[in-house]
Amino acid sequence: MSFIQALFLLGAAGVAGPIAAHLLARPRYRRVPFTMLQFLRTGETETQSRRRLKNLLVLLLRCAIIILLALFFAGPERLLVKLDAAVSPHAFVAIDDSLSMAYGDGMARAVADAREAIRSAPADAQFDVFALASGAETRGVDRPQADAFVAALKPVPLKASVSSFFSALGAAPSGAKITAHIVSDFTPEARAAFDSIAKPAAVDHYTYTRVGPETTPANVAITAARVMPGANGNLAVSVGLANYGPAAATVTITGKIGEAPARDTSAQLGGAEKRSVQLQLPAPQGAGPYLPVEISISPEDGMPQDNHYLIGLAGSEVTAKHVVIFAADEREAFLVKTALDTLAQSNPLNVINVQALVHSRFDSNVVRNASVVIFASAPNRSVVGVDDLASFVQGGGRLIAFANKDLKPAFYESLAKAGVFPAVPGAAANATLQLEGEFGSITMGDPLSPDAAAIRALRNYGLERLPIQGAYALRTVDGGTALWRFNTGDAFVCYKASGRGSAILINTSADDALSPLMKSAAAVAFINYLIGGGAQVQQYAFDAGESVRLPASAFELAHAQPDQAFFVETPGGKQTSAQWVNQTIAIPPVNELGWVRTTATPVRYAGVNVPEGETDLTAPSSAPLDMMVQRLFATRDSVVDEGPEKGTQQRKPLWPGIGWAALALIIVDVFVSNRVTR
Amino acid sequence: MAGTTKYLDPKLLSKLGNMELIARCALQGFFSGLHPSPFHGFSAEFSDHRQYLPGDELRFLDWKMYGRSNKLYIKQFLQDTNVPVYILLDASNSMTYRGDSTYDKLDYGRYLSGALTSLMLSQGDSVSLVVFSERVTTRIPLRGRRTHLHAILTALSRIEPGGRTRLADVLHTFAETATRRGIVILISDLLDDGGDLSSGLAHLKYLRHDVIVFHTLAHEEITLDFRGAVQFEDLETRERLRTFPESVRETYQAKVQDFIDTIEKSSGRSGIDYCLLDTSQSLDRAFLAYLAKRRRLM
Repeated sequence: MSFIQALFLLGAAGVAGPIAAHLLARPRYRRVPFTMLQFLRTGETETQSRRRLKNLLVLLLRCAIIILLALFFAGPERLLVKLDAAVSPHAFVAIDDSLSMAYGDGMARAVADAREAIRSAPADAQFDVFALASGAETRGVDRPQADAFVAALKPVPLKASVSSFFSALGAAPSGAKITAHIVSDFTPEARAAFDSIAKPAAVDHYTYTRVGPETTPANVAITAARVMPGANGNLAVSVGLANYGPAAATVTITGKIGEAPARDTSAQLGGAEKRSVQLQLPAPQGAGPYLPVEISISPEDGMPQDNHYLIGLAGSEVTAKHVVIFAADEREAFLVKTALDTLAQSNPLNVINVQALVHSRFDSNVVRNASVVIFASAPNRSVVGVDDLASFVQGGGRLIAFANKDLKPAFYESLAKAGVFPAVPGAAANATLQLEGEFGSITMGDPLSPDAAAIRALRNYGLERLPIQGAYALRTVDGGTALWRFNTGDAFVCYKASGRGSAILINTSADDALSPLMKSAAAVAFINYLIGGGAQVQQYAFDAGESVRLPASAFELAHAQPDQAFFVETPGGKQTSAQWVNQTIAIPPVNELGWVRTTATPVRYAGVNVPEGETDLTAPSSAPLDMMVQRLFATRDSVVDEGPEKGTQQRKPLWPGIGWAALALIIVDVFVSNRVTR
Repeated sequence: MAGTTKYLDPKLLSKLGNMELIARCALQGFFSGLHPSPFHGFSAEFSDHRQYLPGDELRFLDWKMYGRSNKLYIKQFLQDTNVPVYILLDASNSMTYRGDSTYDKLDYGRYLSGALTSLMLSQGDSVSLVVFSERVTTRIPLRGRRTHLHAILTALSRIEPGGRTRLADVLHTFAETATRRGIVILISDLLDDGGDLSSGLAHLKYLRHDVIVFHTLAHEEITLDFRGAVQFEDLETRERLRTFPESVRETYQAKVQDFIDTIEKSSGRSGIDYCLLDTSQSLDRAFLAYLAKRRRLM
């Protein structure tokens, strides 16, 4: 018998309702002193037993109705098949070789059980054996071959997949006698794989064996890790931990970036608890743009494979930008400084040191040591050293100035005259202005070309919708370029490259639009756009069984050809070829845990880790497991003299009869219920 | 004094008025009273003639009859007498059941006993009170003085209910110890604990007592007028029984009616007056109804 919608069988659990009502709705007796109990006793005994019988009958009726209705909606049907004697029986064996089977002697027991199933199959049977995690399979083989295939299986750090097994079962010759046998530890991950099977497979007989620990063992795993910006130039690694065991556990988490010293911290997890722990690791200076990050937990337990997690970092080198802000007062500097602080936290390898000073504290030494100098407003010409600023830009610095309400033309004119500033503010125009043009069309010239990401980010904020009341008419000087304009044609951002550095003048207008601009959601992206943000750091951590990608170096990005082959080293130490796919180096799925790295320098890393949940060894309950496996198969009834043609299957629906029976019981229930009076 | 008059209901006594409880059977008495005596004597009311026998007193010869018929006849007269009245009051635990009535069965019996005592003493009869449960606990001897009422009312107020009903044993014991024939008034719920009630009553009747049974039951005992789930607890045995009264009411009522009918029939056969008293009804109405019935039967 099989079911069209076996899920409805769960409705049979509704019998708990009448049973609970029967047990809970027991009458509360009022105590009454009385005298003539001898006249009550006989009648009461008779009535009581009759009432109990009736109540029990009603309870049974209602339970039967619920079960029948669940059966009715599940759509039971009988599969009839006439076997073809000319077709040899087929034995399908599925053996779970996922990583969880490596716990204890699970894999050995699974192999022994599968071999026993193969041995007990009919002598003329053909075997189709499937390794569920590795995907290895052998089809239509005889007993010795099947036995040898099973004996060679080892656990792999992959999740079990059952689709091939059930596809093969569905394609089996229907005239053959079909048996199926599954060996698995039925961990939650494995059960999820089996649960994904929607249509039951028609078989004549099926069996299953659960191996693995009888009770859920103690096991703590690293399920994920991600590098985030930390404090004081550190990198913070958020480590996801899962205690799959039932008891509380204390673990020590150790992290290490490249050759830098390891750091550790400890965490306590309750039974079956999942949470993340942050680990601060020092960011190594000058170690190159590609860094391996290794996270591990101790002590080791029954599943050491899930106690390690590897991440390959790729991005800009750890750089330190020293930004000096000159402002009229602290309030004016505060907004720019806040945007810079936020920016510093968004990129783990982009260290930005910010120093805010009032105009009067202009110091040439401070400027000389800075990489970016920002004037939140124009200072008096007398307090700044124009030559110092010109030398700063010529030497590779970035000078940024906001032209705001408190315009001091002498400052701009002197710096323009020194060949630093790209433009000079003119008359103020009081009108509501908006930025014009799409950000995609905006370029900032070669010095800022790595800032494409910053431009893309800025585009998302719709800065062009920010209304600005009034603006200066910026008059560009030689070499100055208006990168972004208002709808009136006046320039909003002017740029000029000078020597190895550059200067940017932002027209935040006569109405002091710096504040609304810096308070907007786009402030951080805008500042990143202005100071020239670093490239995004990318993290390369993959689950076993996934395709692995590695970052391309700058040389490869410039010179690699579409059909070019690369060589990488896989966790087993073997070299394998990789392909150039979407500006990255890609290799087919890796079934081993450890580092995948490029053989070419600079060495780039990608970590291959245990898939999350694969080592969750939570033991299943037997009844739900029985039900789950039962749902996977539709047992056929072999007929000899009647029924379908030889070798064909016929489905005989059983639900109409069950529906009528349920209806009849409902009518009987109404009748009996009316007779039962208390 | 208030305690002693507690069970003497003035309202009831005023309703009793001139009604008289008269023994239906001829009883032997010491003093003249309202009850007919088997001894033909010297009262004013002529009864019958009989032939003169040697030894008869000559003063009762009817000389006028002799003149007319020349035969000797003796005149006979009805003789009135007072009788002993024994009030047997059941004070077992089962008599403490009250139900929704104003009084429990024992109080009901007390009021009834008080009223009967007052009535009997006013008729010139002598009254004895016997209180019992498993055995006789209190016995107030026969007296005919009016002041005896006080003694009986005091005894009634001092009754402590308790024990189980052994009615048959008590009746046999009483029958053997009651030296004078008289009216035996039994006030009980008749829930004898396994005894043979009819044999006890028959014993009294055999000794030629005039027996009246006041069967006091609470209304709920007759009708089982309860609802919902009830755990009944026996007042005497402490036995518990859980049931839904609605489901057993019909059976119960039939059994109780059968019980009452059996007692009434056996009483009728033995010449015993039986009166079922429902404690939910006022005592005066039940009592007066009985007296009226009794007078009609005379």
